[in-house]
Amino acid sequence: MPILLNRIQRLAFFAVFFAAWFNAAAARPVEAVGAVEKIVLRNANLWERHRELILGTAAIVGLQSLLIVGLIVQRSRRKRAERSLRDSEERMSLAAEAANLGMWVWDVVRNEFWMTDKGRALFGFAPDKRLDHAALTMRVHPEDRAARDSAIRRALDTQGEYAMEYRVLLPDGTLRWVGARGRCMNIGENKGSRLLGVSMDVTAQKQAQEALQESEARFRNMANTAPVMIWMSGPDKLCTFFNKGWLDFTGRRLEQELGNGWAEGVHREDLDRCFEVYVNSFDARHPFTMEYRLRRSDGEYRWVLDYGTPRFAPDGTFLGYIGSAIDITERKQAQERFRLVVEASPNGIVLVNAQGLIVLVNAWVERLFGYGREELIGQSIELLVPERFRGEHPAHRASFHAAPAARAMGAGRELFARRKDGAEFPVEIGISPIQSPEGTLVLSVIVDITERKQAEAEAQRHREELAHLSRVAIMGEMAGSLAHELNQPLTSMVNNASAGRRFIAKGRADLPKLDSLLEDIVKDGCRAGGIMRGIRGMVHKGKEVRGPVNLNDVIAGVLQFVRSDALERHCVVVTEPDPELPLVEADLVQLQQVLLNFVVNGFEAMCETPVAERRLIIRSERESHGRVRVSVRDFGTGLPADESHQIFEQFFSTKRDGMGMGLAIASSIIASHGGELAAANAEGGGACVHFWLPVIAEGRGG
Amino acid sequence: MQGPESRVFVVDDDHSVRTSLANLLSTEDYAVEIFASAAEYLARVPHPGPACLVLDVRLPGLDGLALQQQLTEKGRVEQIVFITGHGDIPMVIDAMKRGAVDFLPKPFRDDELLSAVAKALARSAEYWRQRCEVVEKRERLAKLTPREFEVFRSVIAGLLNKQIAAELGVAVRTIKHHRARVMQKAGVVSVAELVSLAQKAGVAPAPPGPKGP
Repeated sequence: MPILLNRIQRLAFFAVFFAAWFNAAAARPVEAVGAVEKIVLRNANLWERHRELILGTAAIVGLQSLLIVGLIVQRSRRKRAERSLRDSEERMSLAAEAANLGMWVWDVVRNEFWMTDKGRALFGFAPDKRLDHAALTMRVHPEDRAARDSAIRRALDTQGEYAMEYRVLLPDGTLRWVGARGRCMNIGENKGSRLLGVSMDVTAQKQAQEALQESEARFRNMANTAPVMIWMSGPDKLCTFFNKGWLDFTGRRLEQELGNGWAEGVHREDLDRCFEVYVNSFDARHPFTMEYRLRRSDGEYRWVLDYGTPRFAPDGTFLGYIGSAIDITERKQAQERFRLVVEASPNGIVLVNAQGLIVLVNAWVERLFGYGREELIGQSIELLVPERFRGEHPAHRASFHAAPAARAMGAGRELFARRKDGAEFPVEIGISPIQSPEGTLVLSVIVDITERKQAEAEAQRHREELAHLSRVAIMGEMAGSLAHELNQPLTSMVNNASAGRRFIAKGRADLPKLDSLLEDIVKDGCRAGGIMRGIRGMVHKGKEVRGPVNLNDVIAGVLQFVRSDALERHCVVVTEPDPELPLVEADLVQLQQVLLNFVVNGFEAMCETPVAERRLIIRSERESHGRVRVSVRDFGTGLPADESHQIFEQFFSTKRDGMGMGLAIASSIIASHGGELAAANAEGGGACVHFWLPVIAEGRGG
Repeated sequence: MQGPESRVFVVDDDHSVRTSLANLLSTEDYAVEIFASAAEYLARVPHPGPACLVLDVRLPGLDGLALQQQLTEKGRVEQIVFITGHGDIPMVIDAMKRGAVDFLPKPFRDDELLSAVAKALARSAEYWRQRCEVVEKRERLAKLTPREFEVFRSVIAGLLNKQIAAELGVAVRTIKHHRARVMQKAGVVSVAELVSLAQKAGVAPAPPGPKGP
């Protein structure tokens, strides 16, 4: 009987329990609920028991038969009820089984545990093992035992419900989370001493929950320690989260920032734009980037770069936006400074991408080329190259990209750039590669060298003028010698012409004789012309003309000027020309001037040398390093020991009446030819003056 | 006067100048030789006869004036006509003082040169003639015996036969004989002629003074 009742009670409880726990979760529990209602009606039969007792006592004597009948009826009813109950219990068990629930009843006083197999499996007990509280407690994770005990005690004390989740540690080490719910039942002889309940394995939920919590915690932790400002908004555009970084930056509390509170910190001038970008992107669910000024806790507005991106749930539901912002004020300032530097640079700056398109120009470029910025950006760089060089320019660019390194463009060549109006101007261009996310960019710094060229031209003009004056001066000094030199062919011509006339006058002229005389006259006329040309070349104020020059010709030209002077000064001029001398690129007249200076100086240095020793040796020779050398060695007084370095300076002269310009000009002439000049005392007395010039590169020289 | 052949020499370092001078001189049928330097000229055997030297002042090595000096020192008879490309007055004076016939600045007219050459040759011929005379006189005197030469020197010193005889310690008769031989060998008939010959030949009279017997 008690067991029957217990069963009924258990059923009733479980039914209620299911209703509470699995609130319309499945069809089966609904059926179970119907069964409970029937059983509750059965409960009304309880009073029959009392009646039995009363009637039993009263009709013990008279109603023996009736009792027997009654007993039979009762027994049959009970059997029916038991059958029905068994069905019901089976269904209940099936339902519990299906729901993975373990059902239990604990008789606290008797310390008896009843538990379904499912329940036993949960705790790792065999179906036939006798259970008690201690056995169960042993299976509970030690850390959870106390909590569980107190929950049970509370339920018992309050005759209330018991619910908790705790860990079960199985003998094999498996850990599982068990969710248990129970209730004290005030039924039977041991009122309040019975606890009924169900337990189920909630490990999966627990783990999922833990994972979620951990992920959440991780996110918060990350968000709060990240060196960026992070915000989140919901699908209603209102902000729901700001990380510590943001709050620290703005110096405001989370509550102040939530919703649209953050906008209070945005600079007024940026606010509308800021909202516009935010709202538009939000509606389109597009990521956005924007820069705006945000007030920092110290009141200063700082530029921030904000990057927002939409968030979606795994099922695709739009959840709002998440964004991060960084303070880019320094970067902005650096960019601004860079921009200002580039802008203010007094040289043209052009940035060109790998395709040769202009990416950036500064104000100076606009000024230099006469184009507006908008006319240049996106255009090919060849736009700035004169037409005559455009064809080859892409190849130059390609070769630069093949080996990108900072260098001067077109080394050794003269470069020109083209203005919008078509005019060309000389430039110097430095190019350097810049690696950027868009590929290799080429930074070109363009310097207009028009003025420098003009200054160079001016300097050259001055030098030429000075050189000319100096030439005229030295030729003036040589006038006597030159007149003598010119008189020689004139004398011959007069003599030969006179001879011819005399032969004719005497009637002794024969044609071969006359022809021979005339031939000599022609020769001497040509010779005189040559001398005149040489003199004119030296005295004439002409522009510098450079071309391939054989230095032996220079020596020969100078000899022509000085021969007579040498005779007068009793100086013997010896030439030692190198017959294989390579050519140099030079102005013949200027080199003659240099050599003439050397020679005349040599003559003058030998004024006090005994006549027999007055020798001047002019030598030309090829040297290594692609140079040729011309030296003039005299046997004169030599250079003053402490002044030898000064002789090429202006106004330095060891001569009493010397202007001191000759060698200074010679020096500047040689320097302008890329050569060098030196003077030293020679062994055995006298001085030796040299100059070196670079030979014309192989292939051009003869 | 039918003398030995006269010759013109040209020294100029400029080839075309010296050949043109040769051409010009050949119009007057002068025998011309040309040289490029003083040294070359000096290396040549002196011409036996009247000679004119057309000499450029500026020459490599030994110059014109130096050559003139050397020739004078050697007692050469060639007369010099200087030519110069660019007249140097100090040189002209120097050269003329040393007996140059003329100094012609280049270029010069043909007749200037030819007349200068003619003048030089004439002067050279005169020198040559005088030189020849002296040589002839010396040759005559060279035929005298030492004793006759002694007598000759005493005669031109104006001594009387008696004095000479006393001086030489021989008989007057012997002196007379020597004297006749001297007159005969020298080809003169009077003492005056003999004195003149002695002067031309550069023979000094015997020093006066008592000479011990």
